[in-house]
Amino acid sequence: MNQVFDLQRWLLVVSEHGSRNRKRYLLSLMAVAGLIAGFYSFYILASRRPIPPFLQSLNYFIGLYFSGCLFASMLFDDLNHGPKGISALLIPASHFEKMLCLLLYGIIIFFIFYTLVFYLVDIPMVSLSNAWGAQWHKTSSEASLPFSPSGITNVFSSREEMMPLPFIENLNVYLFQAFFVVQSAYILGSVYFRKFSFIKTTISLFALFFFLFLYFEIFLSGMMPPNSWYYSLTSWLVHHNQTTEYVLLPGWADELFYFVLGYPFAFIFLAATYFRLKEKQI
Amino acid sequence: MVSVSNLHFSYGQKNVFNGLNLSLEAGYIYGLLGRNGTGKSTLLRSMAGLLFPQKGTIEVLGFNPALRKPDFLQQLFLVPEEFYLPDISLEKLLKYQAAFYPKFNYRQFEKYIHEFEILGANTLQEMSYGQKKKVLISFCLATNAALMLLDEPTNGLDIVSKSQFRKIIAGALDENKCIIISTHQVKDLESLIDRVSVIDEGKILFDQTVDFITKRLLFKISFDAYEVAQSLYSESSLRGHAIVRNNPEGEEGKLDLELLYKAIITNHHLIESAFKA
Repeated sequence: MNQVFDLQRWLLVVSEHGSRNRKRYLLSLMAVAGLIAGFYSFYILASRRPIPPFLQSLNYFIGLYFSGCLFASMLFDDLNHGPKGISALLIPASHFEKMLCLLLYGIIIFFIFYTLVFYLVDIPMVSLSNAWGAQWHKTSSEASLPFSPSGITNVFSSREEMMPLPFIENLNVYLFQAFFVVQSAYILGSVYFRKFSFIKTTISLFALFFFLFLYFEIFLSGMMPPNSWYYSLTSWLVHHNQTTEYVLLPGWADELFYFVLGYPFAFIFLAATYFRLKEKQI
Repeated sequence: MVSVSNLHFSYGQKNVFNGLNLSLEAGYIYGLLGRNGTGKSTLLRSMAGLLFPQKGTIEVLGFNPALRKPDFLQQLFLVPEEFYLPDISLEKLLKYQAAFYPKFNYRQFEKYIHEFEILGANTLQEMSYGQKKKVLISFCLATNAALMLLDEPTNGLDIVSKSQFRKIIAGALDENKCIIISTHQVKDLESLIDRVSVIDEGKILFDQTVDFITKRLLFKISFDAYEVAQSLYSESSLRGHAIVRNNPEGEEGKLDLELLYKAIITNHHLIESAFKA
């Protein structure tokens, strides 16, 4: 039998993990649903208006980042608790199969179920806000203006009215891409840190961003001519002879830079998680 | 089956093993005895691949345990002192976990559960600590794994269950299996184990088969002051003096594991001398 990956064995690992954690996952999803509903309830009562699509998207992404990272930071939590860790490590399956199983639950299943739960709460709450908003509208000072109910947001669409920052093109694509990178970092944190992995990973990520900030703002800016500064990570503004010039990297370099910043980081974090799992001792 | 060679291991500054050597074969029940904190659990975890040697090698069933390969893990089962069982029913435990072990025998499991008299509870979490432990021991034995490691298995078991445990373990052994039981409650292993290994200060202090021990040593109650004075170890009791003495005539006797253990811990050189003669 293959010692790295065997489909039948992996399916056993997946069903075993599901049986072990079903209750915990269901409770977590209910908690997420409760938080989303709580936020909407507060908004409806405070504003007395329909929930606009951009706010729904904002709520979706804030919830996705917060719950996704919290969930990711607990993914390998069992390994940090002696008895649970022993039980998990001694299941007759390879490290690769065990990790793939956790990634299935932590990334794919989480994402599907979070989105499902979001819409299960979002659709009735938006309908409720439309219905109540219409009633309140009749008695408000804006009664003479026509009432416009809100539609349901599509978080997978880049249409301007759906996104919280409409001036950034394809914001949702960047947000999803960044989410999977950040989530991978939290997955690595969950196997790397024995305690408080969510907090420690958050601090580590802030330290990393601070280092990048210093690198761009102090080290690279120091190499630029006077009166010039960074406009974005791949473009500069250079003030020269009373004119300001916009200096851009070539298109391919720009794309390559953002590609490297995105996908490989997730891969590196997950590869590091795998090797860390292999050397885990209890 | 298990070969430990020059094992070194420490937790930070605290040395646990300093060149430990041990060889174990199939077909025996080994009793790994020792005081608290002498490294019994660490040794079992190292054999299971949960801890890696800092120096030296461990080979179990021809595998390097640290790699934790599926083929290796299928042939090994560890019952840790502190264990975890998920909050599911017995049926689901079997459904989801037994499939990992190719030699798992459902009938055997039911037989052990019946013998341990585990009744009533719907899920594992509703069971008492002792009941859960009995479920785990039953599961371990039903896997028919080649190597079974039991760390303080009788902790939390009542007197009747301890006796059932001894009976069940004795019946579960065959020539292809090796059972290692680590405990500091030596009385619980009496008339069960085939070989006694005592671990102390990071080394194997004593390692002999029960047959050989009873050939070389005699355990008895003595009222004879001379015999007590000549013994390898003695302690007074209300019944007289419990002694361990050489057995040059090869008298038939029964092993008193607790007395032997105390004798080894007190003066293992003297006890060892009986085996060198």
